[in-house]
Amino acid sequence: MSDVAPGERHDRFPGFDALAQAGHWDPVTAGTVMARLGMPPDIRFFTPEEEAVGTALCDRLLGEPGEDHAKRVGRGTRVAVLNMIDARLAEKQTDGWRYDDMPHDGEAWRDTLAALDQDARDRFGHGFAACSVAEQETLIQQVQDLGSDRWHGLCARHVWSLWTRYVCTAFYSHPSAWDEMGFPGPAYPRGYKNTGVDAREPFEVRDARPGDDPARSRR
Amino acid sequence: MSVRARNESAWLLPNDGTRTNHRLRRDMRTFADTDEVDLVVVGCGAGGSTMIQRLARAGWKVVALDAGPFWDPDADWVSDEAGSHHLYWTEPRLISGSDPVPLGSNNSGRGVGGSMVHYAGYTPRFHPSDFETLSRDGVGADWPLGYPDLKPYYEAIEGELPVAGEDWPWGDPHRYPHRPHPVGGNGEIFLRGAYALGIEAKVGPVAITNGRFGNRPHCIYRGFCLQGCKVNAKASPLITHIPDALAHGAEVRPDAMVTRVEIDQRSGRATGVHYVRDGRPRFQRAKVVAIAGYSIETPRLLLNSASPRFPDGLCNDFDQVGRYLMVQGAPQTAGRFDAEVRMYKAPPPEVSTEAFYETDPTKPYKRGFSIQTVSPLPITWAEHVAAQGHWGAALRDYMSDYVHWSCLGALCEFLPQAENRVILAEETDRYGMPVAHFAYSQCDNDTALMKAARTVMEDLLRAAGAGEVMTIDRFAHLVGGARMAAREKDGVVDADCRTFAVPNLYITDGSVLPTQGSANPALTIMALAARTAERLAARRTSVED
Repeated sequence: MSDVAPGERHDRFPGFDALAQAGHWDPVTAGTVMARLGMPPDIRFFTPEEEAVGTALCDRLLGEPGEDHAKRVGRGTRVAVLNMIDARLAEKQTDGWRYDDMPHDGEAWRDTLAALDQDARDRFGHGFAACSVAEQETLIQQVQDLGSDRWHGLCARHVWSLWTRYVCTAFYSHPSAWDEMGFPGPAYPRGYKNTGVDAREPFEVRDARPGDDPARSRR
Repeated sequence: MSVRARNESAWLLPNDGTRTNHRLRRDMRTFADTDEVDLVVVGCGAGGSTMIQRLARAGWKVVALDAGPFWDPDADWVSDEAGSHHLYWTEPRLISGSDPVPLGSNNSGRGVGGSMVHYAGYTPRFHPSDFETLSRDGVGADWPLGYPDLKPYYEAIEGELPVAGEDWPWGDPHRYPHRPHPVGGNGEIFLRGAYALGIEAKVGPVAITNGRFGNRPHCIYRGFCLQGCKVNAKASPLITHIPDALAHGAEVRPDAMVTRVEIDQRSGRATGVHYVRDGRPRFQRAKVVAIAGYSIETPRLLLNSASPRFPDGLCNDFDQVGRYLMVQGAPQTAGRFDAEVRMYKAPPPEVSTEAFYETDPTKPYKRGFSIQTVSPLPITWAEHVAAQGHWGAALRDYMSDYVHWSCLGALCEFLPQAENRVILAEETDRYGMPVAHFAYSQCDNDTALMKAARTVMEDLLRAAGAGEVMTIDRFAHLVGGARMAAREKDGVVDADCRTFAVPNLYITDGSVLPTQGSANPALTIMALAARTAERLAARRTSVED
């Protein structure tokens, strides 16, 4: 995994700021989005041990820098992803389905964070939160590599689905994540007038590195 | 007759920049539980709303109950993905099978307007072949009615939504009342790739006003069709049928969860529905009951309505309830361009092709698929990237590359299979009712179609100039689960959507469809409901009055 601070990704759309358009959003939408910018909700669902493992898991799944790197180059804007997941689980805000071989989402999160911590102790002799970034990535990769095989009694693919759904839904609801993508967020009542390939609105910013295709750079 | 003369909904909406006619709702006629209404409808989506609009116009006393809210687009909907969670049916449900199908945001609505509040807006007709796949191709099932039976209702509903698109060359060729919309970046890429490969592709058909329609304004191309249209440009029954229904004396009773259909054990007739509102159990009496809860909740309600006469579930004498439930295979292919596509601008539904819809005798599989633009917003795009296996820095890099990607989706005609079904789980919801357990497994033909569609989409995007392409497997839509058949041993309802087992019980939603074609189901569900309503009105006029 590359060691890029999230702040560096903002360089693709220099000066772009989704929130700068907030004055053009309808008040109901603005209320919904602005609520994500204030104090994150307090942790209510996870225990402190689960919080520690969960925070590290979210950071790794989202490619956030480790603590050392963060001290050196700064973090950019860090979204309180685990708090957002915790709030959903406390409120039982599910996706409206679960695999029949999985427990309820809240229980599944508790069980899988404990399992990840157990894996860390078995393999590295200390808890997941105390692992290095590389160790954490190794443990996470092992779960993904299992595919449909069992991991601590659960279908690994279904665990992976649970983690990525909750993490991505939380993170990509945040305006700072939109800034990284050049996505302007809410668009009512303003709408768009310049649609089409390579067409931009006055407030949209051209990608400064259009050839920065992640597939090409990884080949 | 002009659209306005037969359905005035668009003219009953406000024209002052707000989206809801509050006076119409405040002045709505209401019935008491003890009133024996002519018709009670369970579920206020595509099928249920069409039913009450038609029958209120015919002079019936009608009430529609919906488990969810009576939406006000101004106050209740947002131009935001995560903030739209309340649009989906999120009561507990279990999924299983070799190809478990996610529910919720993927295919399940709640509230007045149903899933059409958050559908993309594609409204293609079924092809004539869809009604006789068994005779023609030896797969699927034959309907007890044919395309000509539905055609006039397709035309009527297309006028009422109204549908915008180019002249349609596939199936039964036809035209649309509104001209095609201009396309955004994603549509442009689709058309470019299709042209390069010699594949015919067309703009539309989408139920989004192109130009003013009544008091509904023009689309503003903001791209949030799947989060509920705050503009009132995209059609849903909330704005296309409910206003006219209210103006003709129908009652819409929101936040009312129906738990059981009551059957008189002596006469075998339905007498009304049990429901819970504000925490209190209630019972609405009715002469006729129509269930329109869609493919998961309709079978669940029937199974939860067991009684001494129907020990295995209402209308389940032949073990048909919940079976032959279908989804469409919806592989999604994204292609990467150095140019900026910015697919979030313009509605996700733009361009489609039905060139691969029919059985091709040179292919090893039966039936086919359609291809359409889909334009995922960031959270849904993250699902695509994550499903590709990317996480960590790779996920973030792909996500920051969002503006360069174009995205197409196929709808593959999966075949009806008895074992793809809804049963009751042991788990109960907060009303104490067993929740639905939905099992799904693909057959070989399904899998072959997924592969073929993927190949065409990847070729198409490459022909348009894409560098990298990536495809994920998805599923879309729900139909079946209480299907229509010629004989009672093969289905739950007859060609008029009347249940074989209970003479005054109807099912008027997508669950009656015996096959699904490669078309989005909303228009067909509405057309079938319009036909059922017309026949119901005629039946009562001639028989009872």
